[in-house]
Parts: sequence; C-alpha cells; structure tokens
Amino acid sequence: MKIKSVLFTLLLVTLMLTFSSAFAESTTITDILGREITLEVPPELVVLTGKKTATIIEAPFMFAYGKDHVATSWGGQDGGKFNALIEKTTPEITDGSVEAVAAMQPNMIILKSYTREDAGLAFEETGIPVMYLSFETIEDYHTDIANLGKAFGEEERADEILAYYDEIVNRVAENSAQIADRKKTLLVQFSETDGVYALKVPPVSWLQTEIVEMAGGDPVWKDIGLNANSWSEVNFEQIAAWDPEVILVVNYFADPKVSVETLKSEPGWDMLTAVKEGQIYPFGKDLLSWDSASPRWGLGLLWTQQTLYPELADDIDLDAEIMKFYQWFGLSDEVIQANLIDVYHAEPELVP
Amino acid sequence: MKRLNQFTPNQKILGLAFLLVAAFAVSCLAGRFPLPGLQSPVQLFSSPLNQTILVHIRLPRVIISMLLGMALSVSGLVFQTILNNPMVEPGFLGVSQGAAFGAALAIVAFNGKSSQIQLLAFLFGIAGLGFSILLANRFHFGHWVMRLVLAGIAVSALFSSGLGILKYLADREEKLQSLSFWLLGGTSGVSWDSLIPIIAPILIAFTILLLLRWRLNLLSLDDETALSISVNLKIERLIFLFCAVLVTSLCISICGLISWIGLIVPHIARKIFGANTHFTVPASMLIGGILMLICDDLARVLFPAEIPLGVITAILGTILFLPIMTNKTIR
Amino acid sequence: MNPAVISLELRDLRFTYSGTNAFSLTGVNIRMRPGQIVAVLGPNGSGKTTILKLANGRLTPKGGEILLEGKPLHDYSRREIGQRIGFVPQSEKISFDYTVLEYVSMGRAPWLHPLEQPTADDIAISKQAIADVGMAAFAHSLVTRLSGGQAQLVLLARALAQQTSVLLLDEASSQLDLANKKRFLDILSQLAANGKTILFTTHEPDVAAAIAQKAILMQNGAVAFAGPLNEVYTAQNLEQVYGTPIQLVEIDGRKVVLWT
Repeated sequence: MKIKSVLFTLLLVTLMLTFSSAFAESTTITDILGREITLEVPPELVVLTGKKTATIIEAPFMFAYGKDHVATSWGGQDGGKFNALIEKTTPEITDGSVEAVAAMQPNMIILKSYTREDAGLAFEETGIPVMYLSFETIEDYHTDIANLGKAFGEEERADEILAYYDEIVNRVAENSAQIADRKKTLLVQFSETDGVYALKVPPVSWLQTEIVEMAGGDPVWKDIGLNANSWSEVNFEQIAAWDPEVILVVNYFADPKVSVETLKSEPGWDMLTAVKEGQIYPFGKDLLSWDSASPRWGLGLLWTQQTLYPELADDIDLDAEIMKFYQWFGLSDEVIQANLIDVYHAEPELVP
Repeated sequence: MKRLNQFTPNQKILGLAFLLVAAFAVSCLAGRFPLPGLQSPVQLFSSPLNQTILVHIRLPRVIISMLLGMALSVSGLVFQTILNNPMVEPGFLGVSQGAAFGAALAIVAFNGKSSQIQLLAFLFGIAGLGFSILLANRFHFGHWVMRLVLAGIAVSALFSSGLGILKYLADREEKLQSLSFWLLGGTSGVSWDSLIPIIAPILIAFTILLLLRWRLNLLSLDDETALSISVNLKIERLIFLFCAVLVTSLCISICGLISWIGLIVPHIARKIFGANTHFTVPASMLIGGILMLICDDLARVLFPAEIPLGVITAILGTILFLPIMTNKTIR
Repeated sequence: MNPAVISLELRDLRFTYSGTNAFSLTGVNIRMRPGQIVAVLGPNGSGKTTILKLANGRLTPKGGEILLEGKPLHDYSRREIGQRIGFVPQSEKISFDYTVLEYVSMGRAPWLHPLEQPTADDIAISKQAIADVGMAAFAHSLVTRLSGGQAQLVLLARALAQQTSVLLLDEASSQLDLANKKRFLDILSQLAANGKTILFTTHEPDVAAAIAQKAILMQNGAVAFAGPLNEVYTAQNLEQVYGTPIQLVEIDGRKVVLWT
C-alpha cells in the first residue's frame, strides 16, 4: 500500500513536470522594433544585458516580478548604488557576453533597442526570445512598459505605471497652459574628465528637450540641428549669444551643485542674464540625474516646471513625489528618505 | 600661380607673416556672440561681456590654434626632411599615437589634471619615437629610413591598440564620450590655465628650429655625404627630432589628435619656396598657423554646436591634397 | 702648395667590421702628395670603399693611423676634416626639389657656423664650382630632374664648393656614358693640375689608366700591388687580382684592358 502510494505520487509528479509547461500561457508580444516574439508567461528567468542600458535597466523592477526573475548588471552612472537599494534575489550579471548569458538559460533576453545591429543579432542567434526596449521618448514608454507588463504577466501593473506618468504629464500641461511668455531655457550637461570641462546640449529629439518644452520652457538649443544621436558641445560664446533666462546644469557623474558653482566662477558667466538673476540651477538629482530617459523623467518634468515657474507649480510637493515614485520599486519610506530625498537636498561638497 | 615668381623668397615669407597676422586678427573678431560671424573691432570692446569673451574665450583659443598649426606643420617638415620621405607626418614614428596614449592614460587611469596629461603625452610621444628607433635598429634589413618607418607603423599600432583598450575600460565608466571627442581633436576647452605652461617650451623649440633651419637641409642627404660635409648626424638629428616631438606632443596633450595638417603643409611650403629648409621652416609654421586658424574658426563659428576640429582638418586636408600632389609647378 | 708636403697618408691601416662579417682589411699604406691622383682598383668586395670610409673619418681604423697634412686625423674636428677632405659618392637619393645651386651650396656647410646659411660669397663659390663642372646653365634646374651624368657632375660640384685640398671619389664615374665619363675625368685631371689630391676607387682599370699616377690593386682586403701606375699596371698583376685572363694593349701611349 505504501509502495503503491509512493509510486502514484511519483507518477503524478512526473506528469506534472512533463505538462507543467502546457499550463503556462504562451503570449505573443510586438516589441518597440516591431518584432514579434513568443514566450511563455511568466518566464522563469529574464536577463537584461548589452550596452547602453542606462535608461532601460530599472524599469523591470517597477514590477513585482522583476525582483525575483530579472537579472541585470548593476553598474551605471552611480556605480550601482541605486541598484543596490532594490531588494532582489537574482544574481548580478558580471559577464554579459552572448555565451555567458546563453549558459544561464534565460527564457527571455532584454536589450536596448538601438544596439540590435551591433550586438542584438548575436543574441537572437541563440534562439532565446529577445525583447528590445527603447525608453527614449514618452511614446516609447507607453509601448515598452505595456510590453514588460505583458511579458511578466502584470498587465494591470503596467497600466498603473502608465497612469502615474500620464497624471504627471497632464498636471504639468495644465500649468503650462497658463504660461503666456515662455522662458528661454538652456539645459547643459557639464562633463569634466581631463581637467577641462565641456558643456553639451542634448539632441532636439531627446527627452530632455521634450521635458523643458512640456514644463513650459523654450529650449534655446532647438536650432542646434546638427547631431541627432549624441550631445553636442557648445562654447561660452554661443551660450552668451543665446543669453537664456534660465540655465539648468546636468551632471551625470558628479554633483551638479558643484558644477553650478564652478561655472559661476568662470570668466564671463557673472555677466549672463540667468546668472545675474540667480536663475542657474543644478538639475534635480538624487543618486542619478532626473533629466534623462530613465524612469525618473516624471520627477524631472515636475522639477523643471517648479524650477522654471515656481509661482505656477507651488502645488508640487517634490519630496512627496520622490517618495511616491520610488515606491514603485518597492523601497521602504526610510530607505527613500535616507538614500534619495536626503541626497537630493544635500549641501554640495565644495572644494575651496 | 606663376605670379609668385616675381617675389623673392623673403618677400613671400613677409607676405605669409602678414597673412598670419590678418588671420589672427580676423579670428579674434569671429565668433558666435552676439551674432554668428564677424564683429567690428569697435564692438569688441563695447561691453564687459564682449571684452571677457575676447580675452578669456577667444584669445587663448586663437593662440593655441595658431601654435598647434605651426607645431604640426614644422614637425611634419622635420620628419619628412630627416627621413628623406615626403609622405610622412608626425603620426609616423609613433609620436602622435604615443602622445595620445599617454594623454588618455592620464585621463582614464589617473583622472589626470591638465599638467599630468601634458607630461604623460610628452613622455609617451618621446617613448614612441624611442621605441621606433630602437625597433628600427633591431631590424636586419633595408635602409635606415625604411626600417624606421616600418618600426614607426608597428609602434603606432601598438599604442593605438593600447588606446583601444583604454577606451574599452573607459567605456565601462562611461568616460568614453569625452575621450572620443578628445581623440577627434579640438581646442574648445582651452583656457589660459592650460595654455600658459606650454607656451614657453613651444616657443623655445620654435626658436631652435628657426635658428638651425638651414642645417635641416643637410639631414636630407645620405649619411655618407652628410658626414663628409661636417654634419654631426646623431646630435643634429636628435636636436631636430626632439624639438619636433616636443611641440607635437605638447599640442596633442591639449588639442587631441589632429590629422593632415602635418602632412600637407610642408608640401604647400615646398611648392611655394622649393626644398630649401631655410625658407620652408618658417613658411611651414606660417602656413600651418594660417590654415589651423581658419579650421578652428570654422569649427567654432559655423554652427551653434562645435564641429570637432579633426573633422575639419581632415576635410580641408583631403581637398588640398589632390591638387597639390597633381600640380607640379606653383613655384 | 709645396709638392714635398704629404697631404694624406694612410699608414699600415687595419680594419675589421664588428659582427658576423668575416671581411678584414690589412696593411694598407698610401702616401699622397698634392696634385697626385691615386686610383684604388680591385674587384667588388676587395675593400676599396672601406679605405675611403677610413680616409674621411666615417670609420675608425683598428690599427695604424691616418695623417692629414702631417697630423693624425683624429686630432681634427669634424668641421676641420670637412674643410680639408671632400667626398663624391657614386649616387645620392634626393627626394626633394632642390635646385642645383641650393644643393651644391650645401657643400659650404663645413665653412659655416651652425646658425648660418650660405652667404653671398658662398653662393659665388658654389656658382663657380657649378661652372667648373660645366653645369652653369643648370644652376637653377631641379636636381631631381637631372640625367644620371648631370647628377654625377653636380655631386662633384658640391665637393668642389667645399674647397678641400683632398678629394675622395667612390666609383664616381662608373655610371657615366662615354662622353660624360671623358668630361668627368678631364675635370679631375684639371683639378689635380691645380694642386688637388685625389683618391678614387674604381673597378674599371681603364679609368685608372686614363688619369692616375699611382695605383693600388686590392685583393681580399689586402693591398696586392701598389706603386706608380706603370709598374703596378701589368697584365700579370691584373690577372691575379681579378682572377680572369687579361691582355693589355697600348694605344697612343695609354694602356687598355682587353679580356678574352
């Protein structure tokens, strides 16, 4: 009798193992590049890898599923500090090569959209479904978040996330509608590596330009036109010629508050209208800058509007917004306060 | 161009000097502020902002562009003459790639300040030349010049692969963007602080080259005959190469790799003045200065965004290259 | 110049190249007076060029000594040697468009200070040297466009502009056609008549016979025969050195080599 029941249990287990895959739902998703991929939802393991992952690497963790099933590398402009805050159980990927990733036997691989020709095709050769994400524009966000929701079996969550962004966009748009005279605004990236610094403006097609426009500013670099794919260097003369009313200084690798102080002490800067009137600001940043196409762009949009038009946007409570945003990643209030809100407000460490 | 024959070489040098001064003056007037294009001299001093832009933004940049053009051209001439080969430029013999590697090493590995970058660029520029000469002595075939050029190619390749590794490492920390701009070359980041330390050594090297300029001719002769007319080959070659490497690597440390000028300008100088280095040394400096000023003016004035200087010199170089190579008599 | 003075003397010279080269030069003795033309003859690889390289200081002998105007060569500075010994190579590769005048005036280098370029005097001397070799019409031509014979004359002119008492020539006439060869050798004879000491190498016995007063026959790095041309220049000696049957014919008082 005992043996019989053991045998029966074994048989049952075998059958379940054999057919379990049949119970999982097979779904077809059209990714941002228009490719159709079919996979069983939810997949057991997803690997996000490749190059240029800065904007796509965090979005999977806005879903509950990501923490236990999505493996990524941890590096980034903050040296992996933000990634370390997320409580996840998946291993860190240190070797993102095709062979190493294939050896992990993931059920899906996620790559950045414009790396397909350079790297993606090799990953596709493995036969493992590859989904590309873009996260470069607000429109891309709608497609990409919805696709992640489908792939992870969390479509409702995807709708909630998109509703969160839509609410911010609508709120900001309502405020902007009241603006009669748009402020001439310059957003520059301050990058210092070799003892000298360079100032660069983003391409017109990038999210930074969209953010400034949505927030009610008039981006002075709209006529830059030349380079659609990367930051373009501009010199001081050009900035003086634009003579913006507001200057927003982005720094991805160091404290933009320090960069603002550096610029103010450079020859000629004290004669710019924006600097004379105290309208030069370090772009909002906690561990990472809010201006880029990372999920923080909602914060970036709110911050920009409040900075450009404080009188219109006095209803925006930025600390509360930061708290609300990072809760999508399942972070506790204490962690958010200590590691992100306090960092945003921190005094710059100025070198005398 | 036959009209040029009416003038003596000294008159032509004087003419070029005048052109350089004119190019310098025009460069000081050209900019994006307040409107793209040329300002009137009166306007230059019309407001404090205008003055600041002239003194702190344009002037250091105009000076470094001029020095850069002069340095690359005269060292190109020195290399061509000493190697008795009109097709070489400072990029041969591992100098440019060595200096570039040194500067990149300072940026990536040590997060270097500008003084460290200059020092490492110079040291590796010299090292590039040193390696090339050492390697050339190890080759057991061919003429000295051929061995040296071959060794230079090998050493350049070595340093550029080293540079590739540095770029790869830098990419992980995302320093790549500024590094690659730097490799394309440019003068946009130049301030008085970075310019002042290199002015004196460059001017000293220029002076030495100008004083010894006629003797450079003798180094283009075969070793045997040069020796028979009292040339101290080792020492005189060393003096010329040292000065050429010094000015090249100092400029590379600030401006990055700029191609073509070092190759093309000595040819233009020879087309106008003939081969005599008594004239082509100053002529290369003047023509190089003029051309680089024009290139840099285009880089900073043409569009709101900077165009990498290396791109412009490459375009200009290619445009000039064909007519110069095919037209035999300008002189 | 006093003909009793010995302008150049190579005394018991020995030399070996370092490295794997088994060649060695031994027992070379040459004594030359102003106005003398001495020919160094011998087959390829017999050590002719090595003697010239020793004589102008390019190589340092391993034994023996070289006396220039009675003083050891190594007592002279490079500059002083350049003012006394000129050198004409077989050819020279020039990649740049120098004019003949520019090129010849480089021969003035030993007389100039390091920071000087040729003065009006130097240019006049160079022009005279060009005229002396009969190339005056080509003074402003480019050296890269000259024919082989013209280029050879220009090389000679450069050494003349150097205004040295001694002239060394390394196979300097071997590439010339007949007319140019005659012109070249006539110029050498004229120079000797004006007091220049000329030491030249050649593998053509006829050239030596045409102008030299003394001849040195080299064989395997050693002097096989040396002395006045008439004594050295016998069919027997030449046969031994060149290792091939040789017949000497005298035509109008000049010896001509025939091989059979």
